[in-house]
Amino acid sequence: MPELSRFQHGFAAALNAPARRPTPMQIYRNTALLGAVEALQANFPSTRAVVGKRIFDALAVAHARAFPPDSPVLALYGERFPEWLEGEQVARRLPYLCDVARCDRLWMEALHAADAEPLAFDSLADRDGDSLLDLRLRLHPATRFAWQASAARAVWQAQRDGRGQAVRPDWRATGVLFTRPSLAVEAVRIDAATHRLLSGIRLAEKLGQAAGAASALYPDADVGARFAQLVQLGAFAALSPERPRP
Amino acid sequence: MNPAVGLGFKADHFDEAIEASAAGLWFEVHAENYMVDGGPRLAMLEALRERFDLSLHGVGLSLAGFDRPDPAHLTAFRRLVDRFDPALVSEHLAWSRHGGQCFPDLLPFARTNQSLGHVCRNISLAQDALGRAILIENPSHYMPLKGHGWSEPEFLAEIVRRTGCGLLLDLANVHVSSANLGFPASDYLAALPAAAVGEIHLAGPMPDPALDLLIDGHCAPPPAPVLGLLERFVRQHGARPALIEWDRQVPPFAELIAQRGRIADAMVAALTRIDLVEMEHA
Repeated sequence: MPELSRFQHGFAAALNAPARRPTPMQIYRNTALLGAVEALQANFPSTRAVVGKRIFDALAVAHARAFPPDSPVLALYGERFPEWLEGEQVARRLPYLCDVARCDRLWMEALHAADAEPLAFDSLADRDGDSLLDLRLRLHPATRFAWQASAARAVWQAQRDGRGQAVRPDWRATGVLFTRPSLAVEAVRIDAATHRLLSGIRLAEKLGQAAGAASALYPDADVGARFAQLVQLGAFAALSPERPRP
Repeated sequence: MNPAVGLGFKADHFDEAIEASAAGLWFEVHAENYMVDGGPRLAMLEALRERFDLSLHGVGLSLAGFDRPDPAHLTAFRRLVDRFDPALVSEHLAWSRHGGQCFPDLLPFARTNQSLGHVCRNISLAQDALGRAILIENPSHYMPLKGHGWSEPEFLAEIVRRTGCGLLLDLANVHVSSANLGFPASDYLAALPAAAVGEIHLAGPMPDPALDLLIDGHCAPPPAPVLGLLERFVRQHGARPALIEWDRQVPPFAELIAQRGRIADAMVAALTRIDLVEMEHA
């Protein structure tokens, strides 16, 4: 093994090893760990508010040791954190905790996603019913959604609104949707029909197919109104200019 | 005259920073913090760039590693350079990536002929990918390493010769390393190729009493010994764009502007002393 590679190998092993007594090596160990922990603090603010700083920071240290960063870009570090939390003691006491972490994660992904023009109602105005149902829409690059069986969404929102103490967990399953048509992330609760509609469009179903499936599964839902709400929220990307067919 | 003294940009300070009118003010950001696809962070930097010169300071290329710089990381860096047209681009004489793991830190290595070859290859690859010369920053040291074949100033001088890069002289790191390893900071400065220095970093270290070491904490204003090194360098070699790095326990923006004024005054005073010496000799 070349000498520089061998040196790095030994040094990296020393960084990852537990410290026995204070040595200068401890400074490097602390700096590297602190960088990862601070990134988790920044990327999971509501999760930290729910469990408290002390517990969160201990979880962050454990996670950073188990899954250290594999990129120097820490803005989206912690992709595996919500899933990893499921194995931790604290998640058994707070059954909504992992989903709160997932909300934090989806919010952060929406924040840093690519900018794009959202679909505007105007661009649909001159289409008749059939051509509308034939459309294959694309989700806006910042759109994120999930279905959650826990009370996480209310807990997460309360933390974001700064009224974490006052929240009464609502134990109904619900969908969560995050959009960012411009610079600010919108977070809304969605019902099962809306979730089915979005899922279909994510899978490149035609609008008619996705809407039909949502209506069939949830006959009480006004799928047209749900679709209008999603356009309003900027959940879809603007239509790409149609290429003339040869 | 107003020497160009810059500040590390903090998003919390955006509203004040965008209105700031201090002459010669510019801002530096860590390139990796802006390697996202879109959103408000990039929009903020774009607004800042419309008013101020910008420096992109990389912390993740791991140039002093055995492996070549990550091509995807270089591509992301190039996108930022193309978009923001920064006045300065810099990286560190350190490594931070090994075997798929990234350490958010700047790690040391033994300065040998072999590591010199790796560093120069990596700097050249980075410069080719970014389409411009970059500045390489001297790191801070906390412990002596075995196996050095080169002193750090000689090593940096040889890198400059072989790659055409410039240097980012971090005077706080010189101060920290000189205190921790026990060498005179003035000898270090004397051995550096001053003409290659394109930027100066200043910061306040913090003592670690348990280890009896100085740590490059970026958590205080530059102390007297660091200002002394600045004055010495400027008197001998002229002014350079200088930056206050303050990343932890960051004070209000007004306090940073006041500290920046202090640095600008110190540089003017050092430059005036050059003029006086020249007049005496005329």
